[in-house]
Amino acid sequence: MTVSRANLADYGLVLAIILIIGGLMVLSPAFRDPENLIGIGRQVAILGIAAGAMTFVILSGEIDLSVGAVASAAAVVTAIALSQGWGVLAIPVGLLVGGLFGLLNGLLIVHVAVPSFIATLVSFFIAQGVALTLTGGQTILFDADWFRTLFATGVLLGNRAAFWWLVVVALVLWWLLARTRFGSNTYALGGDAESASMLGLPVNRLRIAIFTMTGALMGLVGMILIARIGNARADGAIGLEFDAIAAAVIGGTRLGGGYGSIPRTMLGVLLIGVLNNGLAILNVDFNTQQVIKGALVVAVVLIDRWARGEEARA
Amino acid sequence: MLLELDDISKRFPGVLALDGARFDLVAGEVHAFMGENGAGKSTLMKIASGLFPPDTGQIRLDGRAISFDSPAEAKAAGIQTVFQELTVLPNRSIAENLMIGREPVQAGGLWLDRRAMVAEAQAILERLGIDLDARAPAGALSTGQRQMIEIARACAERPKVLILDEPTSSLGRAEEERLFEIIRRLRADGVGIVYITHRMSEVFALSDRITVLRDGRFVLTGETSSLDRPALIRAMVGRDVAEDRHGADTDTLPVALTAQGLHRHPAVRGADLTLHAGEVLGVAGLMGSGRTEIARLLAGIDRPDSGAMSLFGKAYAPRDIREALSQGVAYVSEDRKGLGLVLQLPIADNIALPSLKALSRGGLVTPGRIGAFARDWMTRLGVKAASPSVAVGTLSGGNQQKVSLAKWLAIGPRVILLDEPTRGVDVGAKAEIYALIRQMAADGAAVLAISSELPELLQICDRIAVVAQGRVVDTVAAAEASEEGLLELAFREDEAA
Repeated sequence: MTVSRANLADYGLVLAIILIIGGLMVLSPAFRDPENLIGIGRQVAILGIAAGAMTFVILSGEIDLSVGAVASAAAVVTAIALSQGWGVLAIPVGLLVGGLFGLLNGLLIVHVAVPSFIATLVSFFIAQGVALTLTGGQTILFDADWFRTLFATGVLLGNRAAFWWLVVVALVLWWLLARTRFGSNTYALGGDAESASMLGLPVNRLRIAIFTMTGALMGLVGMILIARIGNARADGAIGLEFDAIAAAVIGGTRLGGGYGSIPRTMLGVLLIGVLNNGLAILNVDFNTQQVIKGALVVAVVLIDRWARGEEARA
Repeated sequence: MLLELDDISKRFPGVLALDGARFDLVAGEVHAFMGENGAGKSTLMKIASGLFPPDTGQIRLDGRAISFDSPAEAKAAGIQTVFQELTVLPNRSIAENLMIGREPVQAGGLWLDRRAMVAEAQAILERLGIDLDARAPAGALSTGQRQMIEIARACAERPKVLILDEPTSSLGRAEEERLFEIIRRLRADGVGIVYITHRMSEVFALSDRITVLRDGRFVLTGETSSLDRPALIRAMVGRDVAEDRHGADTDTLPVALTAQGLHRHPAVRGADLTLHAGEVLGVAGLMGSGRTEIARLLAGIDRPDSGAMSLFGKAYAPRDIREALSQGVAYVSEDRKGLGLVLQLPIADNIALPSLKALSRGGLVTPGRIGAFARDWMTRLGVKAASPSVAVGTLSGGNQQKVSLAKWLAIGPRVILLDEPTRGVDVGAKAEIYALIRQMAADGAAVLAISSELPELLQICDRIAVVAQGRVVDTVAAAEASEEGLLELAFREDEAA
């Protein structure tokens, strides 16, 4: 029956998370330690924000390969601003650096008609070049306790600031996507770009807005990153793009656009976070963890296709 | 005058789609817009809808000159269009589709009012008598239901001008009746309605006036009551029919290829066909009649769901195009660039491509042997090019088509299926290609030619099969056929279904 298959695809992820969490709790006392469970929230903050933004991009039918490099560049610039004593001004500077790279992505896609894969690859290289030039390959140190408290180390309700930033960003993204015309148009664009433009939706402005917003959020990610470790490197967040795509896809976001949601992506983030944490506690080495993550993505894609195949035939 | 399109011309790469076309619409009328496939009806209405600008000419709405930079501007001005290409978004609910671009909001636009959106959408559906749940996803709807959603969306925007491009092409009888009811109600409310269609019965049942376009040019506008069916067909066809006719006595010719009861969902629905060696059999039909899909089955590109074919008396069920080729059945696609030729490769390589096996010695082919082979075929078909090493992409449409023909003739096929053999070919080269096609039949090949151009079929064929609704509805001797008669057949069957 169609309904049961579709439901399985919908709830399979929740089921998988519950099973994995349950299994790990039984297997490992260290995992079920409340401190560890709260810690998972912290560990997934950066991935969660990046995956949320990536969900927006993928929903609109595009891809953003530059997120890791842009976050790294924003991190480096913010760290330099802090080390130069710019104080609170460092925050808008970081957001601006991210936003400008996002704007560049959007402009390349809309006005130069470059596919997003290429446009964001270009930004990836430029952002890396900027970050490496500014750091000269060195680690940038800064001294700003207020900054570290604000973005990472401040504790509220047992969890650290980074986690609360994720909560705020996820709520705002959910609201944008599910409860505003901006989100509605994003789904329309990803569902069928040609139809969306024939329907008179502002597709170009929409694309630019989505990429600019993603860039600005990568500014935030960069700041959380340096606030957590207390210094900045040019390659600080490289590789984040792939984890973000993986989390969105595991959450059921369909590459090609149109299908997915923020809550589901956050489930994908949670699954990756729980797995990483649990496997580390069980002493599974990092390389094996990567293999498991890859297998998970394939499994989700297969389940999605299976559930959709049934829909298409119905 | 509500909407006037005056002296509109539009050129696309290689074709003059509109050449001084005009159309006018008054409030409270249904104005049927007719013309053969490719006459430029849809292009003109896309210009009126802001999809692209005209090269020259003027658009006036309520007497004021206007120009649209986007579909959104045309909509804002009160022009709503339901295109043939459906724009229903499969990933959104029916309500979201109906209300897109004008979703109800609360809290000063910060929050979508979903409840109001669903309620309003449901009210629209009910008002139009469409029995669907507004919350259901649109992806599961049938094409006919999507069409109705599309129409409902356009109506809900309270348009001044409503343009419907072949709205009934995917509707069932009941939906069709409902649509007519809606159209009559809108007309009574003073909306001006442009109704593009191929179906004569609808034109006479619905419209107040009729405009006919031919080859991108204005032919006539008249009151529906002053026009009849033959007059309309004459206006759409227009040209004098060529005199030179062929008429092989097919009874004396050996049967080459037969098809019985071919089905392939959804386009082919029970096609029967007999093709003789030494004849040219034409296939006529409106766009979407299934004529290309039938040829694809014969060529082994697609496989039928049911039905049987035979080739020179033996059962013929090719698994793919390679198997069809190995049995001597060649297909020359209507899409020369996409499927037929490798444009960046030289003429020689293109011609030799299917014959490489025959040309190779111990698995190797030499440029010299390919060149000589190609030169031979270029002379036979009269390909005009400096040398066989010229890239095919630089040739004219006519010469490209000749290369495409040479390539398949070179393997010595017994059956040749031609889909639109003269598309994009200028008049002079057309005559040469016609002669080549006749020559193939004279040499004993069985030739099947699909064409949208009826004069072309009358000129080159011995017999003409008329396809409608995925079936061959009649086969007539070309010598006794007329354009009017063929169109009549194609239309009648299209409506009967």
